[in-house]
This record gives sequence, C-alpha cells and structure tokens, in this order.
Amino acid sequence: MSFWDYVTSRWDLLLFETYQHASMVFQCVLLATVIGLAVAVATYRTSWLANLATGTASVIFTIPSFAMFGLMIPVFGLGVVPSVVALTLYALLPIIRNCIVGLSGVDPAMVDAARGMGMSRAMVLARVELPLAWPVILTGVRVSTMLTMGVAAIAAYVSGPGLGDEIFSGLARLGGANALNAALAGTLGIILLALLFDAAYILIGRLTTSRGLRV
Amino acid sequence: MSDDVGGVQIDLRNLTKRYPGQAKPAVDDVTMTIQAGEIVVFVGPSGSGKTTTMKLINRLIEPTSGEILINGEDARKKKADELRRHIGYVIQAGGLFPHMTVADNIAIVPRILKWDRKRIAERVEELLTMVGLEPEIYTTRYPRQLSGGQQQRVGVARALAADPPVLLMDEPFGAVDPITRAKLQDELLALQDELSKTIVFVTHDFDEAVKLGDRIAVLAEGSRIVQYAEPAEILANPADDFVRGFIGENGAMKLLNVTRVADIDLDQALTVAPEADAAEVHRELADRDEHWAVVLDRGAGRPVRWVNREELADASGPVEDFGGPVDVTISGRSTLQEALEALLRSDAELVPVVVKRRYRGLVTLNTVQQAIASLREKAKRR
Ligand SMILES: Nc1ncnc2c1ncn2[C@@H]1O[C@H](COP(=O)(O)OP(=O)(O)OP(=O)(O)O)[C@@H](O)[C@H]1O
Ligand SMILES: [Mg+2]
Repeated sequence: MSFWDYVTSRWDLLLFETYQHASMVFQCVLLATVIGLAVAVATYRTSWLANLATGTASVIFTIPSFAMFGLMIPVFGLGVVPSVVALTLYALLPIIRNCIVGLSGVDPAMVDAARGMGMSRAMVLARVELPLAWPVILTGVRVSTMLTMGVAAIAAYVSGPGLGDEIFSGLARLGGANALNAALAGTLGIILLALLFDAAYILIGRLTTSRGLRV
Repeated sequence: MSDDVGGVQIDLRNLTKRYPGQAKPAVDDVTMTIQAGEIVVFVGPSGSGKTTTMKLINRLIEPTSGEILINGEDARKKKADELRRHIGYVIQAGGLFPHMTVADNIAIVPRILKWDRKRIAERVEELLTMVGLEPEIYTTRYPRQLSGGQQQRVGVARALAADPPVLLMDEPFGAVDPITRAKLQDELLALQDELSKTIVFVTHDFDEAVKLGDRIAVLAEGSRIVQYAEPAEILANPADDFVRGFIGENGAMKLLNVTRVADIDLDQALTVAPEADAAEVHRELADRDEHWAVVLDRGAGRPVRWVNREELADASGPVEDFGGPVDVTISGRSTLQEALEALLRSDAELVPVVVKRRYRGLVTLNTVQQAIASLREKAKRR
C-alpha cells in the first residue's frame, strides 16, 4: 500500500488523532501559560524568587521525556492524565522564563510613571507591565507550543492520546505491513500541526500586540 | 477638579530619606515651603537628591523621617494612590506608554477617576490644543510616531489631565534640542500664566531654572538647600562659591535677563503736549538744565516725538513741529537685556518705556547700570 493509500484508507482515524494531538497540546500550553504567568507575576519583583522559579523549571525541563512520562505511571497510571501533567511541566520552562524576562525587562521609568499617576499595583501590572511584556511572553508561549508538539508524541508511551500512537505502533512493527506508513503519517501530521500553530501565533501576535509597539 | 483654585502650598518638614545600605541620607533633614501657584526649580549636581525629594512629595518613595504637608494636610494620612491622582508627574522624556495612543495616555488619570467618556474626550482635545498639538492629527497616534518635543508636550498634557493643583516635573525637557526646549519652556510659562499650579521642576540647567523659576532652590548633596530665593536675588547675590559655580561666568548678563524694565527706577524727562509752545518748552528745559523733552500723544499718553534744547532755541509755534519721531520704545515687560539691546540698536541715548501704551519713563545705559547696582545692594541687605 502506498503512503497515500494508507492515509486515505485511515483518514478518519488519522484526523481524529490529529485533532486529539492538537487539542492536548493546546490545553497543556494553555494550562502552562496560566501557571507560568501566575508564577512569573508572583516572583518577578524579587530576584531570588525569580531565579528559583526559572531554576526549578529548568531542572524539570532537563528530565528526559521518556523518563518523565514513565515517572507519571506510578502516580497517575496510564492515559490522558499522566500525558497532560508531563506535557504541562515541559511546557512551563519557556513560558516562565519569558514571562519573567519580559516583566522584569519593562523600563522602571514606565512603572514609576504609572505609579506616579496613581495606578495601583494591579493596574500597573494589567495596563502597563503585561502589555509591554506581551511580545516576549507570546514568544515564550510559541516556543513552548513547538516544543510540546514534538514531546506530545511520547504521550503514546503512557497510552495518551494523539499522533504519537501512529509513530509508536509503526516503529514497533518496523518491517511489517504499513509500519513505515504509520510512522510517516504521524510525523508528517505533527509537522503540519506545528506549522499551523505557528501561523496561528503570528496572527495572534498581530491581533494582541498593541500597534504602538509595532510601529 | 479644582479649576479656580490653582496651586496649593507644599511644606517639607525635616524631611529625611536614607536608602537602605547607604551611609549618607539621599535627602538630609530638608525643610522648605513651596508657595501655592509658584514654579520652584530644584537645581543641583547629579546625585544631590533632587529626584528623591520629588518622589517623596508624591510618595513614590516613603521618607525615613519628617513630614510633607500638601495644602496643610499630611500627605501620609492619605492613600498613596489617591494622593498621586491629584499630583501631576512628568518624568524625563515624557515617560509615555508606547502601547497606548496619545489620547489613551492622556486619559489615564481621568479614567481612573471614572470620568464619563464624553468628558474625557473633550478634555483630551482641550489639552492637546493647549500644548500646541492638533487633536485631529495626534489623538490616535502612538508615542513612537512622535518627535521628542511632541512626546514631551503630550507628557505635560497627561500630567495636567485631571487638573491637579500640583505638578512635579523631573527634567522634563532634558532630551530635546535647545530651540525646541526654549519653545517648550515658553509654552510652560504661558500655561502657568493661565493655570497657576504649584510646580516643582528639576533641572541641571541653570539658565532653564532662571527662565522658569519664580524661585530657585540650589541643592547640594543630601538635598541640602544652599540657597532658596528668586532668580534675580541668586544672580545678584549668590550665597557662596557653590552657587556661583552653578551660575557660571556671566551672572550679571543673566541678571539683565531676569529683571523687568517696569521693576527698576526709570529716568524721567520733561513731558509736553504736542500743542505746547516751543519757546515755553525751551525755557523749561533751560530751567531744569535738561536736554531732551518727550512729546506725548493727546489723550493716550503715548510718546510720539523727541525734541532737544538746541532745536528749540529761538523757536516758536507748537512743539510738535520740531524734533523727530520716536521710533523705538520698549514695554515695561521687557527685560533689561532687551532694553540694552534696544539702546544699542538705535542711535538714541534714551529709549522711552511704555506700559499699557502710556509713557512711564526712560531707559539709558546709566539707568541699566544703576539698576544692577541697586539689585545687588538690595540682595545683600536681605
Ligand atoms: N533606589 C535607590 N536605592 C539606593 N540609592 C538610591 C536610589 N535612588 C537614588 N539613590 C541614591 O540617592 C542619591 C540621590 O539620588 P537622586 O536620584 O535623588 O539624585 P538626583 O539629584 O536626582 O540626580 P540626577 O541629577 O543625576 O538625576 C544618589 O546618591 C543615588 O545614588
Ligand atoms: Mg534625578
């Protein structure tokens, strides 16, 4: 069976797996963004706390992905939960780091001006610091998404959802019928998704970054 | 809003700020009163504590000890954010938020104060016009689409948005060329004529201080007040070498620049009506042993002709048939420098001074010299 025949014959399944993959990556990155932003906001003003947060995220990041998913099994068993937890942990580093870099990179004069006009701390964060740091934060989220996209394939190892299943089952019976086709379909699917997400980020960046920062 | 009130008085009492881990306080036991409606300029070397003193006033920095009274009320009794909404603040290069349009930048405090949309829009338009930027063009621009001078104008407009009685300006015109800077200074003075806010203005530039300040505070390390007086007094009688160093070499010339003709003792000459009898005027000049007489317009009291004693010898008829027209006059609002300029430019030894179109007296080189001497004398006696 040619690759094309393989894809058409299993179109529905592939589409479903692709959707699952995208949905998992999207949700994990969203979760990581919420957590990462919260951690960054809580720590960026105190340098040792900020370093601690970035350091911890870096340590998590250095754990090999197979080991990480493996470590999830005794705690969360198999399936969606361990996949999401592991992926979210991976996704954290670029996000936390960029949030902290972005927020602490805001010109102190801007903060002074904002405080000097009578904005409360929360207003300064919402109206000045976050909008100014936004391009950097968004870059972090984008990098994190690309990274998660690849790592998510490993989720199949803990019976997680997504295109990883194609790759894993394909590689497991290499030489067998359609083995290569399966692995190829999974890999190409992931690449396509990555390109799609990247395009989406460019659009989101345009729509959510103040025009004043782009001129 | 406090449209009609103008500024309020600010009192600093034994104000001290010691940053953690620093041996010497950045602001060391400073006591001063800033009068309502005045521009007080802080000048002093880098690190003398000017910015710190200013930030103590709007509580961006809390004092280690001492008090700040704004309009007689202890600034620390109010919520800091609340307090700051009624103190305009302009920092170097405007400090505009690049992600907000000009209109949004200006509208920040009015929005915090929950003004309604219509009122905010009107206020933005009014302020832009006030600082010389056309609202149709500039409301929707972003700060990065403006020149440095335009940004600073917006910075001033933003600080004035909710009509605060107090304005703090920390080197607001630092980053522009001298011509734009002079223009911004003129605009600020014109605004202040109208608004009479209490303005604390920080600069390194003594000439700027002289031009803008109703009073200048020369500060040394620890924000120690070396001299706090009107510009003319500081120029006429600097307290010590430190102040002299700030003034620079040509203090006397600068003094000419800050003294108004209306404020000095003018020379007086014989004044006559156009129809006065020439022979009569001649006799009177001889009696007074004077050389020149000024012919004043009927009614208006405007100087129109000069006549001198020689021309009137053996003359008869109305005095307006003799002498020559007055072509140079100066206003009482001119500075002595401008008077000097007028004297040097025209061939005349005397230039008549006109206040509200009426003759007030004469300026000669001697008048100017006398005036400077007496300013020095007065400053010393104080
Ligand atoms: N946040 C801070 N922490 C510690 N020390 C500070 C801080 N801000 C200012 N200082 C110190 O306090 C002193 C006064 O600083 P300040 O900024 O008030 O000076 P300035 O007169 O405004 O100087 P410049 O003309 O350079 O703006 C300086 O010695 C400075 O190093
Ligand atoms: Mg300063």
